[in-house]
Amino acid sequence: MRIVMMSCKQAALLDSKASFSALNPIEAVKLKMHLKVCSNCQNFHKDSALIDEAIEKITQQREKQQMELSDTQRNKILDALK
Amino acid sequence: MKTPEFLNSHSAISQWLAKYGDDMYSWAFYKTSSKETAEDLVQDTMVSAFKSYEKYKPGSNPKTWLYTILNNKIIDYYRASNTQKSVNQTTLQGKNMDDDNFDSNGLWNKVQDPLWANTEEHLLDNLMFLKVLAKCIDNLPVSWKGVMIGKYIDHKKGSQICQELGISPSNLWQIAHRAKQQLRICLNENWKDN
Repeated sequence: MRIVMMSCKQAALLDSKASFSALNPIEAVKLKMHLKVCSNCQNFHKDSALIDEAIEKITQQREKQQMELSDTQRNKILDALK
Repeated sequence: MKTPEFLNSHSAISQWLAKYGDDMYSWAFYKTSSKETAEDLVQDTMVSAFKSYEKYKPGSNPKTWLYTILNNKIIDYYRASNTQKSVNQTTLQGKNMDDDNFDSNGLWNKVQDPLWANTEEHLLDNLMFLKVLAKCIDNLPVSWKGVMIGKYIDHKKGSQICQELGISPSNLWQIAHRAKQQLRICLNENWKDN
């Protein structure tokens, strides 16, 4: 059992990794097995997915603000052209 | 005595600054969430454009050219944040999330309750929750924000984010993982399920 079971620390890292790139088959199976028996990691997994979704939502809602450079800022930039 | 080339490029850049400056400033702010940084990036872009003015093809769209330079400056900014505070080190503001969260056997130090147990309301519709999360994100180190922007704003692949930020894939996951843990702790502390 020990050989196939990984620690929570490793499982949580794999869980974060999975949101960036596909896990290799061995990693995927190991994570799945760990999640089956570990409620702490299940909760981390759920929260992690929730945070991912929420960040996605926040970034989509964030509107591009139209901003203006002040005259001082413009002059500073022009002064830098040498 | 200024040469004609100097005067020529100087007047072109001045015109472009007048025409596109605000848009570039807005874009840089959108990507960095910092007014000072955005201003610096616009200035760096204009200086670069001025110095390499001969590379601009007359007749082509100056805005496209300027934005190419600006976007590279933004990438450089995040890349520099990764080299300044080496992300491979376990120190993050003197704090390693894994040490806080796990014991020496790699087990969670304490019971991990879920952030949200209420099934009736969907958390993503809870404005207060999103507000707190946005605040928590603001408090993350710059190097982490580069990763987040690549992923959530630009929807880039992991490999592309690594390339742009000059970090390895395992660095990327570590950063993302630490950010995740920090955000979760921040949410637990600042947002109550009530």
